[in-house]
Amino acid sequence: MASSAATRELQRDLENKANDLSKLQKDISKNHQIRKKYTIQLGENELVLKELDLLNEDANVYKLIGPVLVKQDMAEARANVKKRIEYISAELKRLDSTLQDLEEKQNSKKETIMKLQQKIQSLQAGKGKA
Amino acid sequence: MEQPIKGTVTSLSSLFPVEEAQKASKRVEETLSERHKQLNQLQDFTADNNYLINLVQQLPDQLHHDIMVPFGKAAFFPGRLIHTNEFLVLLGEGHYAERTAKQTIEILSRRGKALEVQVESVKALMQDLKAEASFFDATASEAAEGLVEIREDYVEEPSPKKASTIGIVKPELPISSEAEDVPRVEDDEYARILSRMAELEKEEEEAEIANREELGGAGSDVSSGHVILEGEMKSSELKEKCESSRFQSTEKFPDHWHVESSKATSKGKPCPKKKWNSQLSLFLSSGGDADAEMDMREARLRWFGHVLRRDTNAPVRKCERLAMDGFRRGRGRLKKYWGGCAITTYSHLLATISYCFKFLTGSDFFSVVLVLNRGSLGNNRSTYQGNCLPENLAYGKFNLTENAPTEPQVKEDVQAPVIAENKAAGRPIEPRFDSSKAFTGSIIEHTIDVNSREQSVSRNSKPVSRFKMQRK
Repeated sequence: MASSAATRELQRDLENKANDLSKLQKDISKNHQIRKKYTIQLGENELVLKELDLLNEDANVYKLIGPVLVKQDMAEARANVKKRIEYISAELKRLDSTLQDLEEKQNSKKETIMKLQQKIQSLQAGKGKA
Repeated sequence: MEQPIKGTVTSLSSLFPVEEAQKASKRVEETLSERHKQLNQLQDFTADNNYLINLVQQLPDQLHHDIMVPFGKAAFFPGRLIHTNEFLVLLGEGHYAERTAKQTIEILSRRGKALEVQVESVKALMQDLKAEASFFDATASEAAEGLVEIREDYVEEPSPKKASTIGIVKPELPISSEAEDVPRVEDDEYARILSRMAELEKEEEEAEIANREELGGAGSDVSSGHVILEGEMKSSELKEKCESSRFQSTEKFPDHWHVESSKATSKGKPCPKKKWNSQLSLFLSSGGDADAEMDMREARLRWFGHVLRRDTNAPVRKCERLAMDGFRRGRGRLKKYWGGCAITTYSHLLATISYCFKFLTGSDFFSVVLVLNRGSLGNNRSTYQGNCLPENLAYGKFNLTENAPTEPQVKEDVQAPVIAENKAAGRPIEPRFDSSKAFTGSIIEHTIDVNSREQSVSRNSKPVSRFKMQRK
């Protein structure tokens, strides 16, 4: 009886761990998506910066804010874009580190789950023999 | 040759499980389709960009354009485009810049270039994925078929006698699309054949010794001629059987023929192969070629003869029939197959023999050959007399059987200038022409020569194959 209670507990534990793992996996995939979006934005911003660098100093540059186009200084626009690029790359770095973290967690979770499964199997096998 | 198993045999499915390979190929296929979508999107972008560049180029051609202006989602109203050389270009991220048409085109072409780079990278990725997918697919299908991997180290042979090894190596060629246990069975069978061959060789040696003693005792040409004929008859019957089964001819040979011929070889009688060998050496030596080439030819012919004497279901014969679609030998291997080489050597041999024959007897060699062939097909146990000598008969037989593959259709319609007599009359065959004696003598002389050569080698009483002995 004691062994069956132990297996039940182990199974509950296993279920919890599996839930945690699936949550982690969801987080990871979400992070991946965000990261993808940011990389695309980074590429676009770099393109913009390149184009702005190619423009003459006296060219008219506008920024779309909501429904209106607001005229901007060339230098201001450039600074804005640069800042944005910096921000995005910082964000990408942060995302990378969190992703690494999450993956490590995922791996450790997987290992614990494997161990739990083995434990349950050995318990069941022992039960079968007895 | 003495180690029948040279390589290792592993089944492909044990290295790559079928389901795993299929799963992997499926996954690669999925990513490939994803990339394909991406590529299509990028190509759409490029097309759009090109269209836009064209439009921007054309717009400043006129001062104004009459257009339909979209109003909301559902409606248009007529309007007019003015200031056709002023563009507000979206640079990305909500930044716009006022540009002229020319400047706009510059921006757009730069964008087009960026797109092209992306397309190229995606294409390269797709190519990699495709290669991966095809590899996985091939592996999966091969593993499912039960293909085996046979590894054999290539050993460079220093002698020019590679020709003789071709036939030996052949049974070990990878045989795909067969169950994985088949090659092992073939190996066994092959080993058995080898041992049988060695056995026969040894018997032959013994018979040869006996023959020599007999020769020494009697010292007459007659007995040797008789012996030659006897042996040759047996061998030719056997060979004919081989040929007929090979070409699926309509003539059926009684089964006991086969039994008889095998009996003849297992008895102490002079083995047909022996004569065959000695004659071979005679012909080859008459060619006057370099030693190495002669040895090669001899080995090739010996192997050919050996193969022809086998049963049609023996692995060596089966190998011959194997259709190797798209099969190519590896780099550094010989390009020629032994079959083709053997045929060439035979035609060469035939020319030599017919020349010799004409020189010695003054009659045409081929007519005799063909007649002999006809007679032996019709009569079970008939021998020939008249203007045909035992030696000639022997040669004729020998040639007829070997030439059957090259000209099997001629033998039907040649008139027989020779009279056939049944052996039931029991008349012994004796050489009648003096001119033949010189020829006979030369054969015997050469036979002894070969004997002495082989004798010296065969002192180590182990049953060694003749291929080996020749190579030493």
